[in-house]
Amino acid sequence: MPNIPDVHYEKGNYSVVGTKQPYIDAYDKVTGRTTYISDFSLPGMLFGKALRSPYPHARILSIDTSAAEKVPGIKCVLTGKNVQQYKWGPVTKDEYLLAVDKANFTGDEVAAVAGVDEEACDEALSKIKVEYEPLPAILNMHDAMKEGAPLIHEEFPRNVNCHFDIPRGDFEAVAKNAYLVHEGEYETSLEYQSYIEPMAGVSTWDRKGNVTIYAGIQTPTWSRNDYAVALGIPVEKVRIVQMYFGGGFGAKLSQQVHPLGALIAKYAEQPVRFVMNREEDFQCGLPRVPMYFKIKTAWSKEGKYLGKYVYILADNGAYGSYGIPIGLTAMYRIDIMYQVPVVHSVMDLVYTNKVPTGCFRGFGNTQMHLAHETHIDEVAEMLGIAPDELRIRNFAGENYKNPHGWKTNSCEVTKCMVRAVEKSDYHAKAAEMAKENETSPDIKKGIGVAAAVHVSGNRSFIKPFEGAGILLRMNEQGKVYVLSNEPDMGQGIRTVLTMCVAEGLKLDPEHICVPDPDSNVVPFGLGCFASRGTYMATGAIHMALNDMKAKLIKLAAELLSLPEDELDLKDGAVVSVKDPSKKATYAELAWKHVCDFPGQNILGIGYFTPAGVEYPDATKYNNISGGYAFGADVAEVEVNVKTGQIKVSKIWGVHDVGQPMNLLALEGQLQGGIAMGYGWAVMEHLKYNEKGRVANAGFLDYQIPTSADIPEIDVEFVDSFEWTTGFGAKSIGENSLNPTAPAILNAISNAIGIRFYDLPVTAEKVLKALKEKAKASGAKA
Amino acid sequence: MEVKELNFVVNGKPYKVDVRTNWTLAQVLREKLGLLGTKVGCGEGECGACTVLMNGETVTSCLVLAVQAEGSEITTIEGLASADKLHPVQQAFIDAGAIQCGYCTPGMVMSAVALLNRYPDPTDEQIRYGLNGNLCRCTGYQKIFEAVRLASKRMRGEA
Amino acid sequence: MFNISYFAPAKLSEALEYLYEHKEAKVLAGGTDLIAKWKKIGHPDMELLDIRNIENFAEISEGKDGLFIGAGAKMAAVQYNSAVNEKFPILAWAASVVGSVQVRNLATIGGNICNAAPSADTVTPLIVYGAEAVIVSKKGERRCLVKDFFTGPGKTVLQSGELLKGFVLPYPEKGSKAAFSKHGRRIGMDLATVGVAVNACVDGGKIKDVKVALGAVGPTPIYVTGLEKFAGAMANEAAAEEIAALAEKQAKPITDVRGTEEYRKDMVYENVRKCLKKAFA
Repeated sequence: MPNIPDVHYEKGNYSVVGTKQPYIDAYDKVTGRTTYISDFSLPGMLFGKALRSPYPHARILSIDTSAAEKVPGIKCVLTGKNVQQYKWGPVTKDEYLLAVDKANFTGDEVAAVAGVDEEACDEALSKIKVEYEPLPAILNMHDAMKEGAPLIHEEFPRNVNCHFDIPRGDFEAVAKNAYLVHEGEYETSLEYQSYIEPMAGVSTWDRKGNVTIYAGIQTPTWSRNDYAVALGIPVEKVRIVQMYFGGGFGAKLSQQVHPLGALIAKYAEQPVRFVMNREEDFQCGLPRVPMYFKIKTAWSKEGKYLGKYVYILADNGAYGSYGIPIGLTAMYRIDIMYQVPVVHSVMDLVYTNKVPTGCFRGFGNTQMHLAHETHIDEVAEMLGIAPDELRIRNFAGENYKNPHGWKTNSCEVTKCMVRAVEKSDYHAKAAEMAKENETSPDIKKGIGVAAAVHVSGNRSFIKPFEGAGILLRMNEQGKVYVLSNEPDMGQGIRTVLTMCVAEGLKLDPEHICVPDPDSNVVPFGLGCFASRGTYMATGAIHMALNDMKAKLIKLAAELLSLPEDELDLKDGAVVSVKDPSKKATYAELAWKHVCDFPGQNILGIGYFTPAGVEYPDATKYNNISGGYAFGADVAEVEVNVKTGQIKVSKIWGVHDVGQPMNLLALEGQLQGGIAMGYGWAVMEHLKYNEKGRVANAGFLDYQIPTSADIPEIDVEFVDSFEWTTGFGAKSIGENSLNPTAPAILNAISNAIGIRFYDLPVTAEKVLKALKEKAKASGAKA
Repeated sequence: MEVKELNFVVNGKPYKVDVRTNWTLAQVLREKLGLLGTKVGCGEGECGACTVLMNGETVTSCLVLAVQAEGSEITTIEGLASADKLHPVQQAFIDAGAIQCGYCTPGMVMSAVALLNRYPDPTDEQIRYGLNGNLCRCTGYQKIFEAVRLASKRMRGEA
Repeated sequence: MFNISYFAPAKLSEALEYLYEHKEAKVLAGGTDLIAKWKKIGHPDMELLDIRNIENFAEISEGKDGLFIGAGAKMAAVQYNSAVNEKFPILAWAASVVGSVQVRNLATIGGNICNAAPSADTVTPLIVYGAEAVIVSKKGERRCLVKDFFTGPGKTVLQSGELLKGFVLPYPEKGSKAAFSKHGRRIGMDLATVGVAVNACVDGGKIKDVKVALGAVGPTPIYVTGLEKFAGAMANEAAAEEIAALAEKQAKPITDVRGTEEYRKDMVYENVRKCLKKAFA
């Protein structure tokens, strides 16, 4: 293994990094030129569609496809009975592409067709006759483990996918001697990512059985493994080409739509485009894992956080997807933000007959933040310590090592909280609002805080690998191509990598190109999830830039007959620092290089893996990330006590992202994450009816914030530099969302003196609670 | 299978195409005319990604039957910029960082253009209400608001 | 293959003839509802009569006995029309909160009513303004108060062969004032959980006449009855509360994804009270 430098990086004197750069791909996006995956066609392409189970749980007795096969324009009709099926899944292998004997949720794929257009497919689907025997279904996770509950997967007794118990110290012993022990229960809802482009892919096979999947995907190289299993072929036969796609937010790691599309294409013997319609995407996407929490904490009188016990029940829906690591993340990730010596967490991940749940921005950690940051506020109230103060007394600092063996490097969480409180004028406002509320009959105002942590990459996925590789290729005109496996889904990594090259090689962005990842071309890597993209890829590109810089200087030294130490890079050329008229442009050097070494481009090779990070052992011990990112939100609300309606008037978010890379994109991502947290807190809820169908599978009734609703959002980044990675950058993607919902819930509690323990906090819930409170106080009086 | 001849003007160019009566305007723009800039996000008129101008007013083209566009003038995202210059709204979206994944962008830009046609110097309220038929999940709308204000200033010669 | 048979005549007589011949034909106005629903159910075969070319179908004109609004008038036209804003302000308001800008540029007031969705925003103002629907067929023309137009969810008094031509809104009495409220889950793009329109004529502090209509709280829009007894009563908070309680009693909401029966009832009370307070002011 090559020696990966364990360097303590220093902040550079940047001229591009840390500035505000418009996205380099914005020109095409704003003129409609960008080809997204659902715009993409191949010659001879057909369309694919799936027939989905109308029952949440049903045995498939028979499928008659004869009428469907006769529909004009239909090339093939597949079922789980007439095509060999393999169980697949990114973690638990428990799902077929087409159900074989049993459908496990409403929307489970039962059959699929390929046809010349979508209408032919629709007609064929309408003519497939399926005989079902409906089975009792589990629609509530609290019923999953009950005696006599129907069994969803034979291999998983009591419907438990996994059970974890991770004790670090004896909580009960700590609790016994504590000044205060507080216990609370919390529950989060089923939340749908709501990317504006649904899941989609285009697949094509060659005669030798190699498949290419053009995909909207966050993990182009890594998902080949999953898709190969699903298709029953060796992984080297799977190529994934990542296309532009309309948002992922976690849902677009490994998805059923890609291998199923590929399976259809295989039997159609033509390329197939498979795009979900919006209703399908609601019914069959991979929404957030709903969780129930029981949290018990122990405290000293002075507000020292002594210990924590957590029990989590997590609803994985019908299939596993990433449920296990999501549950694990919920269990203990927050333990790197607070210095708690004793932490004990227990989790059951259960199956239900609902949509499989999976990755969603925050990956279980967001759910835990909702519970924990609400809990902390309750404790603050009990101890009579201000909520920000209680947090600050317990926050981790630099180089904090927690009971799981995790270690912070840079850590400015206290700065984030102090600044958010200061910016929002939290304390003065809280006092002012309390006074106003006394005389205001209808509107009660409140303000709340919450803090958050997330990783920049999570070491828990693959034992032998973590990191990123970058290959820089300077072509014969001196243009630099950045080959990376970390895809851009709108978060802007294409622009970030361009900025790094512009910074490192002093090159105009016009001469830099970051192509979309193609697994046939780019270095191996994991992709963009776990907020890893920027931290990993900028770490790798830092090294690649040094490599290329050294090569350019060496070539120029030879060409110009000057010593290497007299040369530096400037405006796309290697220039003598003593006599700027002596220089060699990259174009000159690059052309000379391909001529001297026929055909060979100048390459810059970089790789990165975070120092001090190791795959967790059997007890889940070991540091999983090199860059913990932090943040704090303050939210201000107005509650109408006559209607229960909540207006969130303003949210402040202050984050520690290490060294900001593209400030414009960072602001945008943070604002977007806060907006999502706002939606989760007060409106979003994918509901199931008693028949086991999603009751609001559309944007009219699954409500996300519109421009009319969105609060004013004020964002800022504290001064920070993460010394384990070349450019000092940590993450923003997921942490942007983590503190928002609890800050809003804390503000609501501050406004009306009622605390809500489950999401979303709708006007209805508020009014009901207000009425109950009035009734109770009336009864007392 | 009923087919009708559709005569309409798209981005200043006259078109005569045969369309099936059950096709939507979005389908014809995308599949017949190759104007893929108009996105279909939901197909139910709820997300606004397919917004185009029809006779100068925004419509969700996924809810308009192609035959309803007979005789109309349509402007899509492809028709906003001139040969050498982006429309000020497009430029402002780039400069303000109002685009992330970009899938809502074409529709959002069309709505912003229509908004500024009606209110050249819009209030915050008018911006918020004028764009509420276009969902964006990436940005939290803040930079879109900034872009609209920036475009308004530039179009009025103030910036 | 699925199909649409499409007809877009320029003459009313042709349209009526078509409707007479094609009993199953659907009338296409803006299409925002019709096309969305048709797609949801798998875009089956359909016969469509598009009324957008019919002369005067989108007109808004001031007549002697009231304001005429054509069934094909777009929501945006109603929202911005000066006569509507001046004389029937809550109708303009209601039109302005239908869907989004894009929806209002397509959707028509006639469509909003003929869909007979209990939550239709413009229905409650039309009811409290005493609007009459003008219905035409090959046999001639008839009129029907909008409050009596609805017979069930998605069902109206329109008979086979009949077409809604528009509405006549009698000019409001002097001293009358209307108020409107749309209670939704979010501010942008929503269907009403509860819709309320009131129209009160107050003279010397006393109620001369008061009308209340409710949306989204029953199988049809609800015209609150039994308000005659308030004639002569003081137009004050107490009356507002009493009427609100009456309205709440007459509301027959269901529990669905948009709200529970209980909450909707509460919101009927609160919104009627709030609207009356405004109308009485």
